[in-house]
Amino acid sequence: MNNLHTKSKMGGSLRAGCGILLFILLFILIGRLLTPYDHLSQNLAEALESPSRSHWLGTDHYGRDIFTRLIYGGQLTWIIAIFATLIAIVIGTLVGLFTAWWGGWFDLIVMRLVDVALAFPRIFIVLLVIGLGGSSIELLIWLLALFSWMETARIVRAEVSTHKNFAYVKAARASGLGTNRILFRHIFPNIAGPVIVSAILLITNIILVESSLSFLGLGVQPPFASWGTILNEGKIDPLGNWWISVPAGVCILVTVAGFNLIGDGLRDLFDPYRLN
Amino acid sequence: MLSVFLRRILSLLPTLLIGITLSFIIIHLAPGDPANRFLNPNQTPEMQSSIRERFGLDRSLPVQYGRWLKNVIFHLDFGYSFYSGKSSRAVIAVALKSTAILSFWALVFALIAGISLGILAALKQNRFIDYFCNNLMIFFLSIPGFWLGLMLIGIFSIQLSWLPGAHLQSLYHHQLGPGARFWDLAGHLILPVITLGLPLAATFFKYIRSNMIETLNSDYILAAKARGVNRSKILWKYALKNSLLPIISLLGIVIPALLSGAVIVEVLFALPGVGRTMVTAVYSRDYPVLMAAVTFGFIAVLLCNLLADICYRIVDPRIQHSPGEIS
Repeated sequence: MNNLHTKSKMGGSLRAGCGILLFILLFILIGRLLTPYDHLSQNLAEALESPSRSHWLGTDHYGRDIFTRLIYGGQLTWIIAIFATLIAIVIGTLVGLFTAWWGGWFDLIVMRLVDVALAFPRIFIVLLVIGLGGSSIELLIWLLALFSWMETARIVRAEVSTHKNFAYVKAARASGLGTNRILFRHIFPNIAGPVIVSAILLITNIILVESSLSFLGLGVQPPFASWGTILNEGKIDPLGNWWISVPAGVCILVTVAGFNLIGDGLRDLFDPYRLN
Repeated sequence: MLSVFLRRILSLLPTLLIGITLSFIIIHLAPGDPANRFLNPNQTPEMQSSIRERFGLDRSLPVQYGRWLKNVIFHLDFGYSFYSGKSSRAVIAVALKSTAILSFWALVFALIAGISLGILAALKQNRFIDYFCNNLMIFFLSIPGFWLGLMLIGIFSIQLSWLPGAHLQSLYHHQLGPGARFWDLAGHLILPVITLGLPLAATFFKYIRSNMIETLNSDYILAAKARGVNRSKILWKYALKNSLLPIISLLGIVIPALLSGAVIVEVLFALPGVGRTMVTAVYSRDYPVLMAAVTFGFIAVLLCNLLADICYRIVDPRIQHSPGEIS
């Protein structure tokens, strides 16, 4: 009975997360049909207007419609987060698979490097590269990815080390399959669960880091905007011009919360050993 | 035991060196020339090169790096700020104090809030309070720290003017008596500490809750119950001890994140810490201060990691003492 109860609760958080993200996705994908404005064109005559019929969420210092900027900002935030996460997951999975499979010195050196990378406050390096060299969206994606693959690599490595000794892998080896085939066709499908969970956690982290960089003025550069950039524009008077600073923050919060809920739900789903 | 620690310290050195070298290369290869700051359009290129010479920027990168490293290792001399002319080491040492105060109290706040709520939720598993805490913590885990800080400043500093929203102390701080100085500092710290600490508290909460649930369901707790050991003793003496252990190893991961978060909180609340010094130095291309900030930041993180490691080994003697061990 108890078990049944928790099962339905898990499904609940998964469903809630999916619902939230679907809503946000709909907003950023088809929201532009709802607005007659362009996200970049300025209209100083209407600067800093509070929400009204014509501007649902008011305007910023240059008279740009906040609602429209939120939609385009959301697209940029999501694109950066998804690409950075994909790159990080691919690197992390490859590193994890091969270190665990080959073992020995290769494993030792690579995992030591992972330790090194994990020990550093990432924002230091990101600050140096972007602050001194300038920012672009591609650079931002690569930097975020390069500082995020390590945790995935550790998780994959731990999983593969266990699976290496399972009968199905031994059987595959005995029947003479090549390393790549065993790793990608046999082991990977079996460890995909933890990889997906780590991808979900990674994307929440990346969204938060990207928006804080943009908030510092180091991420997405004006006139283009991610949600973090919009917050940067609203920081001068956070409550006076609440229509700039509150909706963008809520967007980030809700998106990250959605992913967190999905992550929690999936983890419970994939982890049959968890006691409940 | 001692030799293990010595070996750990030695193994940190290459890590540190890699980080510092990488930072040096990034800083010096980046576009932009610090000398331009002192020039106006009427001055000659000779002027520029003489300024570059004065800063030592005319040499090749390896020479500059060698010279810098030599001064740091043998004289602990990080050079002088290009702009203020102050010793970079002194600038960072002062900034480090603010960052340390901020991070320390944020960590304390996060530990207390995370652990106590985590235990509470675990004990009331699947009841209302558990759901409530769980959802609250997902909220705190998802909230962008800088936005939380922004909202706190807006509400408590601007709207209500209860608490100061910037700086670590009032202008008249040094004219206050010792007691008033403490309250002045505490008032300035409340909002930044909450901003930095809440997401961390949520991380601790999740760990404590799941660990505690797992421990409470384990056989030795069942055995203790069967033997008739009283409930509070089981909870405080048996279960809690084992649930708290992983927190120590979690600290190793949390501390770099704490420092990263501190950068944003310092910028937001205009606190004179390492993060803000770094951001300012990046924009003014103050290479010596930047390098000093990065170096001290790395050392701080590595030392905290080492400390967490040592604590863990002391508390949990089951850990193997093999040098190549990777968890």
